[in-house]
Amino acid sequence: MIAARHMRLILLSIAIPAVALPLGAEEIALEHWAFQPLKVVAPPGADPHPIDAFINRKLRAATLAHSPPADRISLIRRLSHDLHGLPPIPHETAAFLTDQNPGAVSKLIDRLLANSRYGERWAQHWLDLVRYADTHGFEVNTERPNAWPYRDYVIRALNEDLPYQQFILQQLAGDAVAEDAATGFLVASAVLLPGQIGKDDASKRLARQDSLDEMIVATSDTFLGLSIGCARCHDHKFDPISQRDYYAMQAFFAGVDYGERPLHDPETAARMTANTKQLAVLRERLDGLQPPADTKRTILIDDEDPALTTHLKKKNGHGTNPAGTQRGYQDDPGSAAHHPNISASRYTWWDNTAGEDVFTYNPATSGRYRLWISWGVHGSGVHTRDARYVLDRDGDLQTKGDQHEIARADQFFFAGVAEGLTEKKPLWSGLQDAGIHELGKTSRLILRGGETGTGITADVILLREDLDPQEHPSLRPPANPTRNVERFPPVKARFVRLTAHATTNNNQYEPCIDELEVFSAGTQQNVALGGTPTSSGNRHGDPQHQLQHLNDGLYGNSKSWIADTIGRGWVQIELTTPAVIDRVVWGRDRDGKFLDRLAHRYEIEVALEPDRWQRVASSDDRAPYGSPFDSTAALLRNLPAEASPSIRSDANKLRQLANEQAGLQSAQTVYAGKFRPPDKTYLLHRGDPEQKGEKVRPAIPSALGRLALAPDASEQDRRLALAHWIASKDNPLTARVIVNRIWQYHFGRGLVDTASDFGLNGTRPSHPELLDWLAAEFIKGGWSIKNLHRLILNSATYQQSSSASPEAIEKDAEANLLSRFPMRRLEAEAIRDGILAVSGNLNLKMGGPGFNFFKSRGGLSGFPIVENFKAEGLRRMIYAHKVRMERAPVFGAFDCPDAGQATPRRSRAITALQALNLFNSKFVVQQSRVFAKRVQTEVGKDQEAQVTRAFQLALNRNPTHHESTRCQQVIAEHGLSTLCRALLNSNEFVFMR
Amino acid sequence: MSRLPYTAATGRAWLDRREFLARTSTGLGAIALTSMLGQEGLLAGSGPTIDPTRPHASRSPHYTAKAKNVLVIFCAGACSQLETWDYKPALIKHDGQPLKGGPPITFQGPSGNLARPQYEFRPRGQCGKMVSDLLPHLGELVDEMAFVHSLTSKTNTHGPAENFLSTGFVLDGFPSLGAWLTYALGTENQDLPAFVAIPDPRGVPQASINNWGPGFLPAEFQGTPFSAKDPVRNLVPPASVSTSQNTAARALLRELNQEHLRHHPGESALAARIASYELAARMQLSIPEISDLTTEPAHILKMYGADNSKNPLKVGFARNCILARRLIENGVRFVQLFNGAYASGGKLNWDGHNALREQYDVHGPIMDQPAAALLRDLKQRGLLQDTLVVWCTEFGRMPMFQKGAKGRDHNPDGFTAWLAGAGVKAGVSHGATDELGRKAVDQVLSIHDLNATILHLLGLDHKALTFRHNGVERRLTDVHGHVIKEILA
Repeated sequence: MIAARHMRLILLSIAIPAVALPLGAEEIALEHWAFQPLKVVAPPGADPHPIDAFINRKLRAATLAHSPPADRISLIRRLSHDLHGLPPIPHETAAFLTDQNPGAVSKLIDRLLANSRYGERWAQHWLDLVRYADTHGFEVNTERPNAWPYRDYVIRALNEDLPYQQFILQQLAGDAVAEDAATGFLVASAVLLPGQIGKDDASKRLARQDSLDEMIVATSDTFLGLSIGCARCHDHKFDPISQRDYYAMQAFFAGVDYGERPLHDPETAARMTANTKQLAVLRERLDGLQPPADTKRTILIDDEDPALTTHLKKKNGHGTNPAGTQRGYQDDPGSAAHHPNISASRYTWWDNTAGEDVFTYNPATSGRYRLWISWGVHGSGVHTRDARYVLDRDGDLQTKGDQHEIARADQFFFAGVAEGLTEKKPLWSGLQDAGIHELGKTSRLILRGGETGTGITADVILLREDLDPQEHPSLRPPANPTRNVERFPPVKARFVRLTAHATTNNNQYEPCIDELEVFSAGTQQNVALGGTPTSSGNRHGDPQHQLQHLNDGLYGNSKSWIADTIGRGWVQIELTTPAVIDRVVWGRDRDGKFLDRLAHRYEIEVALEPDRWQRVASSDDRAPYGSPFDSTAALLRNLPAEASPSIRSDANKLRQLANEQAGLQSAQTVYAGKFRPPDKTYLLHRGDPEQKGEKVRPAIPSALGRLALAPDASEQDRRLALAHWIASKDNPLTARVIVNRIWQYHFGRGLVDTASDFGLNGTRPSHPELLDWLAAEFIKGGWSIKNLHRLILNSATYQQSSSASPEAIEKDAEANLLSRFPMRRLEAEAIRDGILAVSGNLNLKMGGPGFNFFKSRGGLSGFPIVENFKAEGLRRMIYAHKVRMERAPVFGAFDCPDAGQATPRRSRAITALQALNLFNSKFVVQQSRVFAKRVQTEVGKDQEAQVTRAFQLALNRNPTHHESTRCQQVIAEHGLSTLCRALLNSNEFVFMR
Repeated sequence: MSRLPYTAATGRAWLDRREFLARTSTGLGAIALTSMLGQEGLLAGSGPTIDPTRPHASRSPHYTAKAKNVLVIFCAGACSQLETWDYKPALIKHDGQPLKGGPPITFQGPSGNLARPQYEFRPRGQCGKMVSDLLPHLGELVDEMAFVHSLTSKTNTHGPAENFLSTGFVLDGFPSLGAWLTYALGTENQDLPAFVAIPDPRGVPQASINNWGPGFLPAEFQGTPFSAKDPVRNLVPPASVSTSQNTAARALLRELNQEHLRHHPGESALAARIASYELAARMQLSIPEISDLTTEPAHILKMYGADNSKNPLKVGFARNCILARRLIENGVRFVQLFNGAYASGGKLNWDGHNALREQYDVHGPIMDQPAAALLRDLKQRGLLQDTLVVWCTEFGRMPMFQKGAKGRDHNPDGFTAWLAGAGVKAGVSHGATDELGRKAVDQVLSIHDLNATILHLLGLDHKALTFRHNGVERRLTDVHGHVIKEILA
């Protein structure tokens, strides 16, 4: 339904005369037939069906006549191929053949139109026009994973017989009527992704201009049959479209971007809003429990850290934790009871000899530390059950007097576990408390062989200058590209500095920070705003990365700072006045799009006087970057024993909700139009974005009427106004164009041969009165596409035979006058779907993400094809993940559009590559065997019955006597699947007649 | 001109099919000659007339052609003009200095200082053309080449620029040069594809299939990609199908189709499809045969560098070069030979952003000897008289290094291609970039001009070779293009 607020606009645009404004030199163009209002025509002659009257008049003029009605088998095959893109099912064919009722054909048409297979078939025609694909195209051609809701929208709209007016409106402005997926239309074309566009501004402007051009071309070609795109660089050579008209059209789309957005669905949206609120409340309540930054020393020594460890004996190798999130696995994110895996996924192991020292950790620090040890666990029972950890205070292994054992580890079990069984896999133990110890600069921790077992292992250890008794060491979450909170005790400061010591991606890039927020103690007040930023150096040249973006209150990569040194750099803010602060919040990109350039090793210092720095937080007490971490689990783990049950329940609830929210978010995103306040539009000299001319406001081409909006018209109003003008019954093009398209898909060619060009350069209609009559009927019938199908399909013209007398063929060789039904090769999709239907393998699951024809996309491996399909891959081909440019294996060769340019009509080439693919491909050979098996299951071993059944399934007819004999001979000598392979390759199977 | 033995069978097979058509399809003769494309209403009258049963039949050009075949050596990734063919001594003088008035930001980011050519140049051949030491073998052949130093592109991004070079449009979805030529001219050998694209052993180029795609032209005219390493897909059935089963299926299919055609006389598409299975059967023999390089003598393998087991990539490319010669030799109309794969930080193609010298040291030898041998071999076999050879790349590279890097960024404003062979003036250079090689300044040319020239040498008027699509009479050269007369013999 069109909402009431839009009625004003409809009235506005309908009141505008569509054509016939005297424009001097353009007069000739304006007299062009397609720009004239529909003529009111009455069908000539006495034929019972008006369509036949129009067609017969022309045939008679050429001394021709219709061919006789098609036989019933041809007719049901034709209708099934045409409306469903599938051959009919044998028992339905049989029922139709015996139905002597005069309404049998109409009934069949109604039944076919009511079936969901119809929408799947006809949506493909529409997707060809809008060049739909599931990849972005161009050189990178990466996946566009959420394009499919638009594909499903088209299928649904057709199945529900959505009036065409609404179909137009929703695709241009579905956001106004809660049909967001429909606006996938606007952005269906290929587009350059930001990373593929040059860093220079001219490249960006050109890319934007190209992407806008695609929207204009899509809208004008698809709905109006006008090639307005030609006027981008110069006035149209043939049609009355000026360059100014082009840019005025562009202004309708000036606020439309390509991108993903949540799919509007009131119920889910309400649930997500409620979740968001509840999550915020819970987070606020629990935020204070997150561990504060700890400025006491924290030291993590991995068993493979060459600087802080010594091997006393040659190692045997490593045990690598298995992939997965279970306890002790690589991505174990921790739980309320145990620490996440910080072991870098593997341990070291040696042969075990009782009392033999194999390895030492050398912390190289002095002071009182609490130690935690960890090791490699394995359930095989090989590992020692009593590995010794001996502290050597002076670090001289020759002097034994200063050594004392501080812990033992049972390397069969996880830390803290002492009974049961352990999986027979190399796992990480978790951390075991080894007590508090005084260390000197040279002290070492020795790993010494236990009394039992044949192997001994070492893994990461943790030291904290922290004397509080703690069951678990409260390491903070790893540094996060999106957002990091640093809590510390209130301190008065004038300067706040963040120093980066290392960045992600192996220090390849300079650090980036999108915003550095400093909060006054106990408040939400960001006192960094208005402060003066300085830095170790700034990367130059890119307006999105500027020092002032550090504290401009704006998030995201496009408002961020980047240092001028690879992997390090510092940045500081001098507050406007000294303040007592207790939190710093920072991120690399709060929008979560960029993960590179994160300073994962850093420290934060404050000072009241210049250069009197005091460290308040650092990455030292965070879990290593890249290690798995579940912060809600960490919260639960670190809750003090006396924490109230309500806090525990809040933490549990938070975890549940966060999971649910993530699920909802990923479930309902669509690649569709993204809308924002429109840019100003300028006429561009020669189409060059660097040569701006005068400003232009949204307007339709002046030759077609006068609909001009105010320059400041809102974004949505622009598209609505355009949609209403296009979908008006007074628009001379819209109804003619769609009626002609429908005709074309039924007969193979349109009444106007150039389906997307009704301009002066297009072909004139072969039957102009019929075209106008059909358009008028279409409008009268409520813009119902299914009504239009019924009208056409019930005509004798449609139902006539495809065979004709030699005389008729001579006079109407190409069946342009429709003296016979034009025979034609089926499209790629109809051939594949048909093969699967016949073999009995077709999976009729509708909707959702597509299946893949390729194992991977692009890169060194190219496009390796899938050859063995499971159930998903046996769905109809419209549900294939459509890769732009790269044609689908086997079937792509049958003129499958590459989704680069619109395909208003598919060519029907016949090539040797098609023959090779259909005859030799594994897919067809496999399906021939499935087909053979099906036949055998249905009729048993009798070869005559097998031939009959195979013919019925593939061709909907019985074999002739000669065919039967010949085919039985083939079965006897070469097997049933040889017959099946020939049938699936036969002209009778792949041609619609 | 030497031909492989099986090509002699072409005539016989062709006669057989003609006999078959005459025998089985009443009245087909006249109708078969009507264009199926015309029947589909796709042609606006200016295109060629195509027999649907022989879509690749050789067709006449608009006027007498200088060249019958084309071999394009396509250097993917934007091969630097400054390290190859466009000698800029001024760059040596200004090495390390900033480019005054130059762009502060180019495609990948901030510009650094001017950088001297990374290889020495020296005069080559009779004409004394300066060519770098990167390409000593090709350098010896400058007397065969006509250089065009002033090409420009519309975009500085690889994919769109490859589209532009191969199709005349930066967008996806337009027919490639080879598809246009095949559509216009068909081909000489009815047993082989008319248009073969040979991807580099390192992978496919950035715009991949667009470079040999049919766009909106019928699929008959697309390039068939295969190389010495990767054969045509589905050329033979899976091993689980026995030879006798295969023969029986083919025979039964032919009978079923003939019977069906008998009931639908005059349907040329049905006859065309029968013919397509016959061509497929011939290709099943001809493609493995032409790809079988074991028949090449040792001295030929050596000449191309296909015997160098220490450099498998060079061997891979050399084998592709030999395949290219065999295809040209056997009358394939258009052979597109790729050197370099997709964007990979310059590792797999000519995209030298960061470590140009280091990477070109690898890429140069892969291309140089094999490509030079190909040109020599074509010449010594007399094939260069009828064959146009074009060396090209999607755009050039900047005279500056990128900031903090030892490589050059994309430069669509001035780059080099060369032509050789049929109809081309030998040993000349046309157009020029400025003294630092930043922009074309003399005889500035576009890709459309290059494509118009290629069509011209094949006897085709680029303005008259059109195909009606979506309401527009499309051309390879859009609404642009001038033949570069100065380099024509």
